[in-house]
Amino acid sequence: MSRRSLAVGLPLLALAGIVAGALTAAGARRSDGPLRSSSTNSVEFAVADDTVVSWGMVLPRNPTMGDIRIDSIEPATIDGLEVLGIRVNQVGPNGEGSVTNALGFPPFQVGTRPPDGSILRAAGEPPDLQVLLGVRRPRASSVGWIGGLRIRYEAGGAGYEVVLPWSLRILRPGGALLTGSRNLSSHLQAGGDPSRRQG
Amino acid sequence: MTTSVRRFPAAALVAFLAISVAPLTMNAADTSAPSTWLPGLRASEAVSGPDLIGGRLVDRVGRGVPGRLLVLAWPTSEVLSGAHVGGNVKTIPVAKATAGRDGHFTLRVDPRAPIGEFMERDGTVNFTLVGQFGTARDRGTSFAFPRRFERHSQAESRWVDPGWSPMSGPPGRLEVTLSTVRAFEAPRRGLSPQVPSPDDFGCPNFVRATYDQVVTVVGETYPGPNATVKFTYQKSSESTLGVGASATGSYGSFSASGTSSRTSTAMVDYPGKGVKSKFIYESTYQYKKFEVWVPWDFGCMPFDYEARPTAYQGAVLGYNACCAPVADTCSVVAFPSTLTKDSASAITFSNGVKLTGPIGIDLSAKTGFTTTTKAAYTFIRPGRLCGEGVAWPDAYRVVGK
Repeated sequence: MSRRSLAVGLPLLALAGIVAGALTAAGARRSDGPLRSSSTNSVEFAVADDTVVSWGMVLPRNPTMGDIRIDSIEPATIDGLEVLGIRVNQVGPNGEGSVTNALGFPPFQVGTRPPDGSILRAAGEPPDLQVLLGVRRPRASSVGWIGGLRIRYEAGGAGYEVVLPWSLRILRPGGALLTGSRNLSSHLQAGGDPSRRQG
Repeated sequence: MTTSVRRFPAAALVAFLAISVAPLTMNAADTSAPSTWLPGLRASEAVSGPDLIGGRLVDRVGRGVPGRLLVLAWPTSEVLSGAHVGGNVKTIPVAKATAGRDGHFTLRVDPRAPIGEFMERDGTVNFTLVGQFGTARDRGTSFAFPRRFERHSQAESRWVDPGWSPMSGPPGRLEVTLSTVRAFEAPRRGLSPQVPSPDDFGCPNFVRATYDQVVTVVGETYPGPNATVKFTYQKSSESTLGVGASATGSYGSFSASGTSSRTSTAMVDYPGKGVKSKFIYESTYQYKKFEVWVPWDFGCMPFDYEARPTAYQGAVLGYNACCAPVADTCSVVAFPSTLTKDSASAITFSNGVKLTGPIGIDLSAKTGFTTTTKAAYTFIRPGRLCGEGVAWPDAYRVVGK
């Protein structure tokens, strides 16, 4: 094999390997991992157009005897909202730093970091970890919502993916809070797959 | 025992003779395939398929005890609620197994058992596990439990908790420790010449009493000073309610012995509750007291009495609680919002079924917050929603502050 063909072939081979590895890794995510939510929860509120707000949810505790490493967090379905950022923060033993909703993003005096590489400690050891999404409902949309949080993570050497059945609905002031009318549970009951509606 | 023997002295003599010869038969059965014990039902050791229940038969100090295990399937709610006092309903044996010296056992349903006739529409079946032990297998103990049959794929099926959903994680195997401490002696009242073969028909269970409108706790809410709350209990809400067992069936002789699953059949829309309210939500179920007969080697035998739920009756009741639970893992709610929580495995109210009047004890009640049962907390001003030991998204009990 000539030096020239090596020079061309090796990078191509490496690139193919990287692509194949990435595809394998993406395809290898299992859905039967240990991270689960025992509840389907929804949060609904009304704020003025273009107001930046934070939506926070404390993640389920790690039930395994090994650490869980978060690879990524993203909305499973989003409609009528802009996501300005996704961060995580540590929550104290009595919920210090836990914010279900707040004006601005990140919330005032809450120290945050990117979710990638965050650790959920083994056996539910503290601190708890909260995911915070910064969102804005533009003037053009009277109602915006997020249905489900997709979390990719690693536990026990394997890669997993889960969609936590948590939803956010933000209305224009004066809009009725119609609890449950369009939450994730009813969507799942109807057999829908939120990931198909990824906007 | 003495009361029954006095009442049926001839039958008791027959029973005594039956027990006296039974050990010979049993010992032979222990060393080979049981031949006299429900020969029409295949032992779980020889059956493939999903595990229904496993566990261990133990004595009063926790040592394994050898014995035999039998699972009976109860008829559907429709059949049970339609049975009148003096009438009877049939249970059928669907699984049997033998526990060795260590007491361990695993039970699987014999595929030939006609269990489909005993299934509710959602696949739930209410069972009673009977353990028989002693030198002549002349003593018994029981445990009531519900399981839902779920076909996971074309080739795979499993038994799960009736309230289980894929969102609640992998379904676990039901494991019980069946103690010989709470054991009945059997047979207590002798044989009945009219009893059909248990292999063909199952055994009769006689309705001895009906208790209507038994009040049962279905939920609780504590919205705190900044929120109101709306609790809804709707069709297809699954409740796991206590079953009481007794050797004599008399008032005060019952003890808790497992659970049974009942599905509500109507929507119960509870009135909304205001700020600072602390409310326990109740509804009503029908219970019946059954004289339970089980298949023994020599036919159906009276075994014990069970008080079990037979129908949902749907009254809208409740009362103010004295105080909210301690919930100090709080999350800030910064502006008016509605936080809705459903699909949780709700807590078990240990005395949630009010049966002290009819049978002498209250039984447990566990209502799952299914997708159609929910508590919606509407914060009218900033506040906090706190969970008991864990933040509200994953907490079983929450309190507004």
